[in-house]
Amino acid sequence: MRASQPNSRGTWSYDGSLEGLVLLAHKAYAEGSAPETVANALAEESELFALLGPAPFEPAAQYSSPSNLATAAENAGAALCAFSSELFGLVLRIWMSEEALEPALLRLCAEAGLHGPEVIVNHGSSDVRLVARAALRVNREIDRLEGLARFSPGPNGLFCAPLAPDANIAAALLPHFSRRFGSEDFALVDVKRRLAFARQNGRFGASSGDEALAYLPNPETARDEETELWRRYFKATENPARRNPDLQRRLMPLRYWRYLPEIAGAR
Amino acid sequence: MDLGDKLEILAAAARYDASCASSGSSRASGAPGSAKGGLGASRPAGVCHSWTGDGRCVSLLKVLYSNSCRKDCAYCVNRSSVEVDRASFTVEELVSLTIGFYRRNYIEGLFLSSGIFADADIVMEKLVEVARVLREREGFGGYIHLKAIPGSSNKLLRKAGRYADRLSANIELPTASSLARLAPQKSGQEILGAMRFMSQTEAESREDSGRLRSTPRFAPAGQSTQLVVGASPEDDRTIIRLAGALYGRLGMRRVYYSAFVPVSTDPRLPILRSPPLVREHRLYQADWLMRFYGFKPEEILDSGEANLSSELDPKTAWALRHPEFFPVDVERADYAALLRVPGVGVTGAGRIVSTRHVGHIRPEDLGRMGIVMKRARYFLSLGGRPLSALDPEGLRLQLADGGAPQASTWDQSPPGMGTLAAKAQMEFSFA
Repeated sequence: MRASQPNSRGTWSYDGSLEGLVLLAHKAYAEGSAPETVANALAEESELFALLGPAPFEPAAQYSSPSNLATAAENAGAALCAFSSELFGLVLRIWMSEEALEPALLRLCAEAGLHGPEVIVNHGSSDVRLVARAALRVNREIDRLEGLARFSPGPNGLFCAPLAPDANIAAALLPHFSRRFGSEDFALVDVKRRLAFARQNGRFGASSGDEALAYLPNPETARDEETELWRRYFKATENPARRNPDLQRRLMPLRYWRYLPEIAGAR
Repeated sequence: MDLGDKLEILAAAARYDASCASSGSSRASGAPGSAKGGLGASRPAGVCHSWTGDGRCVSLLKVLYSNSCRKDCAYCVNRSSVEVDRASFTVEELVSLTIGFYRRNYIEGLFLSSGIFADADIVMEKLVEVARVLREREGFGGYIHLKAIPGSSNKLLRKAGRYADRLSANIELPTASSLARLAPQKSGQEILGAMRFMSQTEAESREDSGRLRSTPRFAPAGQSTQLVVGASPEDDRTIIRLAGALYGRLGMRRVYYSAFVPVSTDPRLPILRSPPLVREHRLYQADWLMRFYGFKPEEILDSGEANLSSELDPKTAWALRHPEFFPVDVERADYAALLRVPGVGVTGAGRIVSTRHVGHIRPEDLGRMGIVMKRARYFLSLGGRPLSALDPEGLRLQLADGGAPQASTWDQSPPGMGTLAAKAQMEFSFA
């Protein structure tokens, strides 16, 4: 690698929000410097996501471009994105990962500011490895849950999928399900973080806490005729001559089984 | 018989078809020319919605329209001479199941095949009708894979391609003589004829839509086929060459290999204690070499051997037969040469090339890039110095994987276009 490295000094802090991390990332990129440590205020609190509030937003933009961030962060995000959309994508994914990787991410942003965006493909760098692996874990979980989310009718008839993802990815699933549901409404509820994202009458909204959990289908009534048909189908389609449960668990880890009607309860 | 009973029978009857991919097509919901909104969309990478106990991706509702069949193919669980429960769906039942399962995110769409319960055209008409109702009445934008019934008219095949994302006609057995022996009522000419027609029509449609974007595409995800492995005496060389020809001459998107599962005591069939899964796995590995690693069919078994090694994967076997090609230098070799190195997959080769642009690569970096060093180090050099000595005879034992059970190679998305998870699996299973 090139000799000059970004300066690493002191502690930077932010409120744990995506906007906050984007602002720090832009600062690191613009100044060519990064902190030794990052204090994440939000990570130390418990009811964090109530702060998100029920503000409407456009999900297609939320995790693919900076246009839905608050104004200051939007400008910072736009500048980062113009510099390198891949780098901006890493910032988003590190935020979603909820892993304490901000110092590595900011060093990478600083180095990219100094030497150009191609530093993010230098897989010999330990910062690149750390950040890229975390981003890959987030992407894998998004891929997985695009397939493994299970919808059933909620209390008001709205089709809703409960999720308990490792990373904070529920909102990142919205563009996929918006496309998939076409003209129909739906909701996604992150049970772990008590967050809901719903499209009702064609408009998107986010909610948190009890309001979010109110979308959830009643587990007693969720197992209906269609679910039973699916369970029968799933059982019939397995080829007993080729049983390989280890492979099944590797591809579909046990932690996702809870919400899969075809396999929930089977261990 | 209720719908659940039919579903069980017709899903079990379809489970020996290996294909379940939902990739290669991009489509939004809504009936063409209609203001009515619809449900569903498909995307090029496809999505797996579950994995069965055999590790197979469940992406589509894969069923037969009917398991009643006039034909008596020795290897088939639905052959006319066997006594099994027979059932048929109605068009409306299939439409309702597809939409219901899709809305719950159980599936990406429908894979519909059928036993030959009547003339080919009548069977094909039923399959096309299901697809037509889904697309035109329901505005369904999800994935549809229809089986092309050999012997049905070109008009019906053309119509099927208008509604379906993918079409397939299973070749089943690799030679005409095996087909004549085990499936005498099937005609190789009819199967190949259907394949040729679909290939030509797809090419024409691609050309037309290049000129005029509003031209409806014919089966935009192309066609696939399946070969049963182990029911007939053909060797791997024959199968690989046939697959190479199907890719090269008929523009096949996928050839699936299905290890023969003994389902009858027909004396024409070999006696197997279990399906030849290792052989099937090796054929998939060889297939990936042809499709993504730049190998020609004749290179894969180029030493006069008729079958792939059960101990070594075909890429390692090739490398050990060609020590003159190695070591490949990490700093200078092009992407295609890197892909020939055992332990280097598509992702790893790409990372080496991109990292070279920004800095030097050290030996310790290679493992971190996803290179499987316990294999690759014997075939790589760095700055002109080999990382380890290459001793083909000693390595043969050391690198044997004994036909390690496969990660799911049936329905992975191709490198460069698939989901990251699929790519990771591919690296795992193959590099």
